[in-house]
Amino acid sequence: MNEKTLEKLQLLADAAKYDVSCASSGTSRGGTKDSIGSAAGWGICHSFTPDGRCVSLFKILLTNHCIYDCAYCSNRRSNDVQRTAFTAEELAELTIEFYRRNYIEGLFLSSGVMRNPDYTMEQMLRVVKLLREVHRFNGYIHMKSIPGASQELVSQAGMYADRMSVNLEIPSEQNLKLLAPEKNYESVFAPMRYIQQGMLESAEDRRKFKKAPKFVPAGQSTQVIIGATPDTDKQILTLASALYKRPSFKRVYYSGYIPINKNDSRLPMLAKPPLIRENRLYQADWLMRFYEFKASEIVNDAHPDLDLDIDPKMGWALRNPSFFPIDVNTAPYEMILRVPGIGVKSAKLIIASRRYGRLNSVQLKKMGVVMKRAQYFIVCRELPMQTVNELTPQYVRRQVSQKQKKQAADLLQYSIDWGE
Amino acid sequence: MWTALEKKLSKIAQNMMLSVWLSELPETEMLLFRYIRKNIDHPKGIEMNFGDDDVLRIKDIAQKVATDARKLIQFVRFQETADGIYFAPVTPRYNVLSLIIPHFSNRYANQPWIIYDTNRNIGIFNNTESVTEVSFSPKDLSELKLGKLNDEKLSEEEALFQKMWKEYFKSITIKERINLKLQRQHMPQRYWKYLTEMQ
Repeated sequence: MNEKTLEKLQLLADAAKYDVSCASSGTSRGGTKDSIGSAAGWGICHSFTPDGRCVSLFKILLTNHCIYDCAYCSNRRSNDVQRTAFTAEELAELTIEFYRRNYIEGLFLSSGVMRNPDYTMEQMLRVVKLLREVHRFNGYIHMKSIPGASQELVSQAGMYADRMSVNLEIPSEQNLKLLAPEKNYESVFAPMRYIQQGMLESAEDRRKFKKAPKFVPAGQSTQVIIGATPDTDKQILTLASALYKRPSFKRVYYSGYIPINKNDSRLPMLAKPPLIRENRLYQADWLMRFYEFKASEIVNDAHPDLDLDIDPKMGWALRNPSFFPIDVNTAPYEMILRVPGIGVKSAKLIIASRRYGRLNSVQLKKMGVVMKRAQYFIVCRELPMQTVNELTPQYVRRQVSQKQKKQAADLLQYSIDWGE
Repeated sequence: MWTALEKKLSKIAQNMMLSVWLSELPETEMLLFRYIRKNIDHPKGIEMNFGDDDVLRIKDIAQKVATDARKLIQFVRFQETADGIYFAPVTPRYNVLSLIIPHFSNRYANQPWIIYDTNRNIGIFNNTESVTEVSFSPKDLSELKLGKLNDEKLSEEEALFQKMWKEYFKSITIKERINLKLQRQHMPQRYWKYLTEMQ
């Protein structure tokens, strides 16, 4: 542990920052007498960097050496950057010392590819084994699986890691081949299959023997880059939706493209990263996972890209005014969830409270319903009949999009001159 | 009377009442009284009737207290002292120290630690065998309020690891996405005093 370690830390943390997966959730595990640490099921964000993103795990590359030359990556072999690598012991010690001080929930270990995928996986496995077996680390470990790694190594890793992930990066295979000719989708899907298989087998074992070891208990995730290629939101969300159908898949992350390699003609020279589009994709992702929407309801051939001015739920509501208005006092939960301005929490409060009496708009507002948006789509005890059908979707859209434009601008800390 | 309440209220609602009490807000006494009365009067209890103002207020305050406890769990930063004890000063808005004991004693069972509420002048100390309440003298307390422990009190490696953490924190920031408003939204400024990376 010395100045050299500090320098490695700066280089390899900087190189790891574009993998936006950050969660430490999905598994909970109590501490034991002979180990250090525990895992909190809800995932704990210990800090937030000036870009507003959460710091939950110690996110780092084992090395930024790489044999590949992917157009979008800062570590590609044709880039002239300083290359370095941690030793397994250095990395394990840093992890433990950060953990003891409550800076992190655990380790997020990724790596550039040295020699070949399996060799890299073996080096990463050394770190993880050192942590679990020698340091007796009982906190969270998220380990990347290198595309193209063998089933044997993925299966070994799964016995030590809480979550594993392997990144698709580009939302369609033909575009991936343009930007990273040495890669293909199969090399990414194969480790995903191995992880899923390991999880299912482990679940089967645990049905027979309660104490059988858990395999990747927090499931797997992946990442796609937004805006580096012409892929539409429909392609991205259809892909995400297909992945979520698999039981082992927990999260898809959407990372707004940031032009790191500036002189590559295969990539667009964006002035700013597409943050609003990224935000809308996350909102659409939430609709699929928590609001029972299908991808085809959010985007389709007529509307292949998400609206930037209004959120996807409002977009759906304005395209389908015949579903509204609904009476919050009698409608089923699935329909209440579809009202713009009513989130999962408010919907649950409504369902619980309406048994005791009919709810009026004052009570709804106190429960957290955003009446400014919901008013066009609901009736309750005494709301007047000025719904989206009388006022027309175009009018409602105008009312809502001004406010949302402001909110989106805040997201980017621009100031827009609204004039008046 | 508590047993009568236990019959009507779920564990969740009982814990909410405790949280409301820990908030130390001036309105809680009457609020709790009304809540208890309404539950006793209603044949099955009204804990799920969020149409009622008092029930909603109880939930809201309990949520605020829970958030405060959760933020504490997130933002506690231990510093290793020369005698091997990991020390963390904190300033929670509500009296949530008792709520975070299970998490920390479970996670860090084998390292001695102290978490100290500098405003209320009480702390918890885990000496790896048991967890007890402690209190510092006023002189020691004024030193703690500065935010950082004096260098001489810290262990040798502490300075190194703090530096490592600060450099790590800088290195993982994506400059093209800087959004200080978003950062402050998630991590309010009142916590920054005791956060190593913001010092």
